[in-house]
Amino acid sequence: MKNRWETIKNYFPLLGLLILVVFFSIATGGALLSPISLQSLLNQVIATALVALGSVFVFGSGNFDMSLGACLSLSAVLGGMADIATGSLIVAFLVCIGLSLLLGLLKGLFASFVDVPLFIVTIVLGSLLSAFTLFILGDASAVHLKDALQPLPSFSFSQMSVINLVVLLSYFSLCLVLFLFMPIGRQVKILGGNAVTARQSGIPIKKVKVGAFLIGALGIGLAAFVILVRVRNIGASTASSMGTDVMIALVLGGMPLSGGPRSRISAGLVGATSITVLNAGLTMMGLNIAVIQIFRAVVFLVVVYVASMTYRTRLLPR
Amino acid sequence: MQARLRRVIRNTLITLAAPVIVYLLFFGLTRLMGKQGFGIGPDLRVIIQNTVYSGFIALAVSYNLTSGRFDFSVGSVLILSVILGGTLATQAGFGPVGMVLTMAVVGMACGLVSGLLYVLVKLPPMITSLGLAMVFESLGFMLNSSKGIRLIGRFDLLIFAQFPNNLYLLGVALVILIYLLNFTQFGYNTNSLRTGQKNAVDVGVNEKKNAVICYVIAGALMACAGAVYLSQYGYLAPQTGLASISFIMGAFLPMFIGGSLAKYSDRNIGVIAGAFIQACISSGLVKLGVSSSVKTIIDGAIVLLFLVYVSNSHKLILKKLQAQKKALALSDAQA
Repeated sequence: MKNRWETIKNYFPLLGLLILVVFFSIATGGALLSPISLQSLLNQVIATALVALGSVFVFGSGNFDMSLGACLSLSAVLGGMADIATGSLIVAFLVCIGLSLLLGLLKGLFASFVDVPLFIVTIVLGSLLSAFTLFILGDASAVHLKDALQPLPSFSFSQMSVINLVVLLSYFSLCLVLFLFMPIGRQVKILGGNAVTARQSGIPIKKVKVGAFLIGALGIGLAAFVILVRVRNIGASTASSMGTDVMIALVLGGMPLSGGPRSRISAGLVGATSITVLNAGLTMMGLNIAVIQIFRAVVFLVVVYVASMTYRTRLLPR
Repeated sequence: MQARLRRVIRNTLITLAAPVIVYLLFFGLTRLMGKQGFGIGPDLRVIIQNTVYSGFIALAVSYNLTSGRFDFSVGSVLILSVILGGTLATQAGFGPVGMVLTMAVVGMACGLVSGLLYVLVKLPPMITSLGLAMVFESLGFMLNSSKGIRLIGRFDLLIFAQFPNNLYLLGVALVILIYLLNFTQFGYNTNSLRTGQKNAVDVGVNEKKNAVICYVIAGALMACAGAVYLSQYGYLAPQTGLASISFIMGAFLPMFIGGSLAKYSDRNIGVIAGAFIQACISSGLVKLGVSSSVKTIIDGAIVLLFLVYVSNSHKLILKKLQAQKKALALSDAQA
């Protein structure tokens, strides 16, 4: 009976997504599910899903990364600059991925070799990277791909959707294989659950942490490229809410932010879709930004509270 | 008695040494580079102003972070307490002191909500504070038609950016905090919970009550920081999307320095010494012609370096003790 209940609980995030879709479809008079809206939703889901999928590894291993948005905007800005300088989307792609991996490696090394509270490091790093982005932008507020020396290919809405889908499905497949069928998936969950147990079980903690951050960084790099190609104007504030969106997405996807055995790769995809539907639905209902944010906060707190109801300690959690 | 006096003098000198050295370092460096005006006259007043502002924030963050509770909502508490408290105070026709007290009451109410939510739902403080930061930001955004608060030209109210009013405000807060932390049951409980949560709770310390009081104190301190900010700029705009988290950035360096100096003096005084050091670095870099974004990068790098040092300094001590032990064992073996 207990096992059956556990199985049913696994479908709660999907059920939550379904409820959100039905509720907002009714509340918006069907506008949410119109073809244009669906295409727009798909394009919005992609970037969040790419970052959230990789973050399953990072948060799953017990690391709290607050620099997601800053890493993404720096990668996108430098990718845009490379694009303008060379006129090549391939170079832009390589810059986005390369820089993101470099930042991921840096965070992974910090997490593995330097005994520091990582979430503080990532808050400081986020601020530092945002300042660096402003520094390299100089007097300009953003980079514009139209300024490129050679004409760059532009994509229609439908073409963009296809590119997005291909990128997302490729990355999702990679994450799925790594998480479900490779040792790193199990190691991430054990490490996030209990670091001491992980060490005593012979898990190469340092390698797992670096690996988790690199996988996460790949997602950030891909998201930076996708946003760069779609938006074509990138500034320091691009994707500034990505960090919050991803955290809420993981929670809505049914994964605790503290990581551990309840981490799941589906959380990235289901959660990203849920948060995008939630944001879009509330906006379509004509609510202002403050009400939307309060709604997001309440949903976030309620979902975390319900998900962790069975786990309470005598001491207050820290 | 003499030993005690010697210890007090030694600890005072150590506490004062770091800020004095940093001040003199930048004083010399700016003179060497041909830049005049660092640390004297108007620039000293700017340093004091920044010390007071970031000192309040660092003190607020330190009351929870040193007990393992990271509070993302402090920036949003500052914004809401200034916008709501300032609006209420101006509508009621209060003077500057009344305005600060109103802001402090709003800040304490926010802290009470944060504390109660944390102890009632028993979720990690990072989660509860993230949720509440979004709520407080939104409430601040909803007030005054999203325009925040604007008191430009109201010099009768904006007195806490002027020297020595800013120092008086900090002084009053420091006296209260030093008393609370060193001479009350709350202070003893806070220190015991900081060093060993389980042991403290096992011997009967009421952790929930202590946590709520810490959040309330943090709220009042953030409101004071907000009053100083408002006095300096005359306005405060609301923020959304968790942009208010950036307010915490200025708290890290003073707080880490405060933690390092805590063993030589009171933690609160250590935090203010750290805030003074940060203000000297900031002012010194401006005098040296460093741009705002580069200054943020340098500040961030210093915080990271200091964080690495603070988090790993115990390893150096352990290594030294192990070397001493090894040397002793070797000399015993040779004997």
